[in-house]
Amino acid sequence: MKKEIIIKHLGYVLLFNALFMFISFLFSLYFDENSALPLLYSSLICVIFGVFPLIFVERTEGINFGEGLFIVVLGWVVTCFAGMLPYLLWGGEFTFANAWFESVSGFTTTGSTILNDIESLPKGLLFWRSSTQWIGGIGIILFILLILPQSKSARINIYNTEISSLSKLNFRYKTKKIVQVLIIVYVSLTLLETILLSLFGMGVFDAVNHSFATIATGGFSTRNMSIAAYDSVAIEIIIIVFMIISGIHFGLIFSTITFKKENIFNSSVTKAFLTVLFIGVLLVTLKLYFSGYYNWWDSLRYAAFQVISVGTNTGFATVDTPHWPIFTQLIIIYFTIQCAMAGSTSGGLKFDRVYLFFKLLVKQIKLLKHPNGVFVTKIDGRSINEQLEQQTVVFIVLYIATFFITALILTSMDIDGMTAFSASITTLGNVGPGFGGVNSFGNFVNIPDLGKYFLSLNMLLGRLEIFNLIALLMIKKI
Amino acid sequence: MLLIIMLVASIIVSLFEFQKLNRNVYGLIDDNYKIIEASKAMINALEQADSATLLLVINQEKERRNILISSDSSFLAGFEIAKNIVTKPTDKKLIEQIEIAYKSYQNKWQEHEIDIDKQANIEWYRNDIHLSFINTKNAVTDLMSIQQTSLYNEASSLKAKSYRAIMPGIITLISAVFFIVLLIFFIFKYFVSPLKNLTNVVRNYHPQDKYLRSNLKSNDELKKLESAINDLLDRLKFNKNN
Repeated sequence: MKKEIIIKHLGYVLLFNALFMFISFLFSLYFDENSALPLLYSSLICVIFGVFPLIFVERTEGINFGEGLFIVVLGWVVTCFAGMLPYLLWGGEFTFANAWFESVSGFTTTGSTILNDIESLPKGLLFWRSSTQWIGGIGIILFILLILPQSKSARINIYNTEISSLSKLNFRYKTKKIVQVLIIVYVSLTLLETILLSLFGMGVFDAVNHSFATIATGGFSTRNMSIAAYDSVAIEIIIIVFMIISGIHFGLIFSTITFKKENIFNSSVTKAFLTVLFIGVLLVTLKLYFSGYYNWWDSLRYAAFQVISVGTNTGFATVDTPHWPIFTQLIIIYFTIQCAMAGSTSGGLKFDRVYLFFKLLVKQIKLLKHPNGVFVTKIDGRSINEQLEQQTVVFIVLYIATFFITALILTSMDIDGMTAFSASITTLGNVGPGFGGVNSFGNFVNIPDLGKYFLSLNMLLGRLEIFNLIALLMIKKI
Repeated sequence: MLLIIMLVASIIVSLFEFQKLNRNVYGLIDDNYKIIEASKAMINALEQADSATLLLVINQEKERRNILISSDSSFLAGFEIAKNIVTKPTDKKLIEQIEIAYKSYQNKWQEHEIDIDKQANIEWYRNDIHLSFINTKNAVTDLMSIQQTSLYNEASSLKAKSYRAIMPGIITLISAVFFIVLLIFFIFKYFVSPLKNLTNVVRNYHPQDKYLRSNLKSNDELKKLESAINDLLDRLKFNKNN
């Protein structure tokens, strides 16, 4: 395994981060803020470490699977370290643990925060915070793949590690085209939402930041009260629409826009996802209304936003939910576990796995009735091979085990059960808000530092889909 | 070169933040702290004047006069210091209020020197002159409270600024360590290891081998060295044969 090749690609990752740090620096300079120097200096450090390997390492002809795995996993870790620098240099509420947590939460598009007062942050740092989500949403590696002239094998090996096998089911193109499709859809949606939010009353700066966070399904807001601060039905509707779109497979969105046969209207997974979301919204609305919490329209308004926000992994909030009936909280917890579709910017378990799991359940029931029968699991006419079926089941078991272990570790630090459970599941699912001490308008600052490190690991496991990190640890030699 | 750039940048950033820190410290000491001390002096002087007024009520005229003269000069000294330092409009307004309140208080105990009906008149003390004392004292206390709040805010801001002055240095130190590790890795990979490889190949060279085969893949000076050694071997063999 050529370590120098891995280091060179990590250098590209740092250079990409440096670009966004520099843009954030320009914002700080424009608004004459004290975060200008921290952002500029962070950018300089990233440039130095990014450029340095390029002096030594020649152009790469091929990258094997192991090298690809290291590039993807270490790329995420290195980018999170680099992302901490502006926070550490600025200070304020950012201790080392807090800066690491916020950086990981940004890049993994979780959206959990340690900040008590988001609005006291300089605009440059707010933009950097949102940028970490935007970069992390599509995966910084994909940006690198688009920009760099890679050999075909290099591109395939890196791509195969970055994109889960489930996501590839709805892509009908070659690797290079897939990367282009993802980026085009991603950037276009961001621009469109920014324009719409600006037109409907959000300032341009806030619109850009919230668009970054919506399309990345991240949830970092520039306001302490998240979207509730705007108290605008129009803004909430726009964000709901874009959250739903961002939770759907990007390949299907591209196919729909380009009038291809395989689009969101023909996809059974998409229809199932939207149906489940709709049922969730309906159940929560009915419960809120009949429990006397709000009138009908407010019940629908708050239920729709909260369920869709969590169901698409975004994590924005328009109301504080801990005082809601336990029935509604459990529904929201279900969506925190389920997450959005594969091939979107969502992390976590992914709806496709849940859908496949239920198909496997049906298959098992059929096998019980007809033990000698041969049943093939199909999704939209395509057979699912046994390897993918096994992977799905193992992943779900690993997922549940991971969040249970993390919850256990948190409770050992004397954190109450609801907070520990919801913090664990929300970080693993890359959703953001939970219940208890980490509710929609709350933060993670009161979690002990060791707990924050474990939750950060959870976020990375969720974003990297657990297997990549485990595979990295199992590579015998470097 | 890159390491030097990083170190120089860190020094510049730290120096800039330390300068800002320095300015803030001067502001803290020169402005806020001095006004607080002056306000304390004024309050002491007022307390003295109030005690002196009580002495009049119990017919201690001579002692009262001495204390009043002393307290008046103390108050005015403190007032002058505060008046010369304040720059903010809100603080200037408070200074004006103090001046008006004190003049009114001063008139009352100066009037009294002539008006002997006020002697032993506790009601007059309680309903007139003491109220004037309270008003003046409250005005001075307001000024002091504002300065104390400002002092606390400035100190908190200093804490943040000193952090920002120190952090670039710490980050640079850590980055420099990583940089040196990387540098050592690349030097070993691209210089030391190929050299060692070439040295071993030369050492293990057997006359029956045609050429040195060091498996160097790079196209740099080390590969040229390998070629030069092979050329030398060719020439030596040619000379030997001839």
